[in-house]
Amino acid sequence: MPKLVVDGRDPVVPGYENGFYLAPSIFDHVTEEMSVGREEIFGPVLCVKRVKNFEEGLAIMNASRFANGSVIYTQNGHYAREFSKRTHAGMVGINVGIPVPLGIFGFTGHKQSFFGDLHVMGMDGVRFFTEQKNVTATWFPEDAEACGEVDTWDGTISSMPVDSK
Amino acid sequence: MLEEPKKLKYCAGGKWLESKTDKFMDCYNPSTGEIIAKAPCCTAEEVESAIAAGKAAFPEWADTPASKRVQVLYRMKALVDEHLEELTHILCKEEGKNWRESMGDVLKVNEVVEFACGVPHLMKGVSGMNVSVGYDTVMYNEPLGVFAGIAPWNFPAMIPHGWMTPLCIATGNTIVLKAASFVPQTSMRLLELWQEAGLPDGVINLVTTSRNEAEILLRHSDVKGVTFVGSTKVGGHIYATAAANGKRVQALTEAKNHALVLRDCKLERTARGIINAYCGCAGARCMACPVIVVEDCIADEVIALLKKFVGELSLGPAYDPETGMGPIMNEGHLKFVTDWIQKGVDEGAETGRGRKRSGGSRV
Repeated sequence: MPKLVVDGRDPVVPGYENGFYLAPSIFDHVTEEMSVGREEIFGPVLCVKRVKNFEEGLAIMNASRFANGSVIYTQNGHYAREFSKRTHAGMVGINVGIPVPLGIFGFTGHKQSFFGDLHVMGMDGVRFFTEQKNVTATWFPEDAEACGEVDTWDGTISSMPVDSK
Repeated sequence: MLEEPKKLKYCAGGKWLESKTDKFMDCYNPSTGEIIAKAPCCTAEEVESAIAAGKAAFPEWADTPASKRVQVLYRMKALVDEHLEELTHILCKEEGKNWRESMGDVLKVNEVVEFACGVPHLMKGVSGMNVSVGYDTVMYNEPLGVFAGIAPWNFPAMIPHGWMTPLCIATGNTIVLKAASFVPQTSMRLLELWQEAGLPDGVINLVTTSRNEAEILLRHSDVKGVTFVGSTKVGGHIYATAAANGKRVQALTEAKNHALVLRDCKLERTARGIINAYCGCAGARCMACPVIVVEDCIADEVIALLKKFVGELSLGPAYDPETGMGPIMNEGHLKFVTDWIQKGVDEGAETGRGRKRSGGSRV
């Protein structure tokens, strides 16, 4: 039975009665039917989903339409590795609750947590803000005879047999 | 004592200007509930003038060698360090996250500024000699022009001035930032520091707007790319609209991160990690972890520890160094989160009947 085991609504902060305070809340036994456990709330509200084992837990996590981060808390290297490989999230924490990579990597959300091709920061960031330009050049010798003839590909093909004209 | 709310300006071409709009948005100090500033809903002409300033600044900035451009970033890094306390104070006062969280938000600016100092190396191209007989090819990475950065309210320093700006300008582009209307003051102070660091006029421009005027950034032919952080609904719209107008887009959107807690975990350390991951920054992080998936055999134990540790988290004003968790960013968002708790109850959760602690949760 789902239960709000800690209710953080309407806290009192003496001296700051007009501030916008909310204490932490915890829902236990949250089911997959409850949107409170699926949608972004962006506040200090924790949902606890109870599962039999690793497989059931991973399946619940991968059913989410969002895939920014995912975390596993364990001392077991096998499960940690299996989790990193099979989780849908783009940023994975092994015993790290907020697995945000440093700026030299980038912020790599997947699924409906990101729209685009190149993520922010890291090498993707450099590519997002630059566009490639290729310059191809050939230089003719002074001797007109040695310049060669113009082929239909004008040198910009690498696989044509040399004697095929 | 009540402060008179400050009327904020916008910045185009290096000049801080008063908007001609008659629409202003309230910026709060969420720790006290006071309105501390009013951000203009810049007019369409003002947004267009910011884009025009970015366009005008682009040719000379793009032509400046990368190694010269990053000199500004080196100076910016030093200025952010020098003004760390001041920036931290502006940030926690307008956003509500606690002192250490706010300081980290500011330091994350430097994390990317430092990385972007490597742009002379990072953006250099590749070449092939004799790719076919007598032919050589050189590939250059070039900047594109004016970018638009549409920033959310949850990281007033890190996102606009870390994620969006340093690599954009170090590679030779210019940018129009749309700062988050609820928390624009950190972003504005950081732009003043960029100016002090010697950034040429028009390389970074900054506006606050309502949604209608922000739409110009998605459609204007002089904007070459859009970088956005916010909701999935808006992100999808930005991706579709800007792409349909020929721009490149990166739109970072919502999340509901889960943590899988296995029976062999280090229980206490794990519980403390979970508290930090869901209560840090009052839950307003797109990498927050607001769901845990726990093996049933240890669930009661985990919940007991969470209840204990959550009780140790003190609520208070963001700028008090003793505060464990600051307030929610504004009244509207407080209502949004509170309504979600009610929705959980409406969806079938029994409510706890515990007594109420001062400054904390009912347990």
